[in-house]
Amino acid sequence: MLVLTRKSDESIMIGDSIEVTVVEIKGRQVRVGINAPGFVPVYRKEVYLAIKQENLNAVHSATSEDALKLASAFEKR
Amino acid sequence: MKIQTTRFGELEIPEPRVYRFPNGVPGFSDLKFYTFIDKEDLKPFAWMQSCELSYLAFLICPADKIVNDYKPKAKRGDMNAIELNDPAEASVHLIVTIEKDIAKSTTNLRGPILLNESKRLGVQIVIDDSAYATKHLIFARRA
Repeated sequence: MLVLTRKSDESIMIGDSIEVTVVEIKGRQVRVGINAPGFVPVYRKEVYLAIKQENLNAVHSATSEDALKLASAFEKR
Repeated sequence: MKIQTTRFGELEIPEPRVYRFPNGVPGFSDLKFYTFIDKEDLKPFAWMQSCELSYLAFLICPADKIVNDYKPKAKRGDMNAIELNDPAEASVHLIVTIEKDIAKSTTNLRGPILLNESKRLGVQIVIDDSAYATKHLIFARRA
């Protein structure tokens, strides 16, 4: 990992089109601003990982047989 | 195009049935092409099958069959990915995780799939709002 030290209002360029700015430092929290092209998704990492994990769970759980059981149970609810 | 699938064997998918996900989905961000397979006995659930990886398929369900008043907040980047200005124009689907005890199966309200049906574009959005659960019980009383 590349580690850089920045003060408030200082920025980092990632490639030509992504800019990360330290907006404010307040106690133990840093407010970080990101300027990126519209097609680049930006996420809090722990939320991204939670979605990724649930996607993996979903794929592994999705067999044809169990899907039919679920649909049948859903219809009867 | 012919695609290989582990659940359905080889399928012939006409090009208009292929959706492009410019960002893929978290966990599979390199895979950009999916098709949707409806089976009468699975309704309202359907399969979102990768056109590129035979094992990769998600069981999905329209969000309005599972929750009321579900208004996932999409970021500008998400809307750009599917070329829509208004999230209300997207069709919204939830990915299902089936449990061994079927009654405990869940949907991921924090990672809905949004589709632009007319342009056949899709995105899985990642919602920061912790009011929504990644494991929302399908058979819970509707919120």
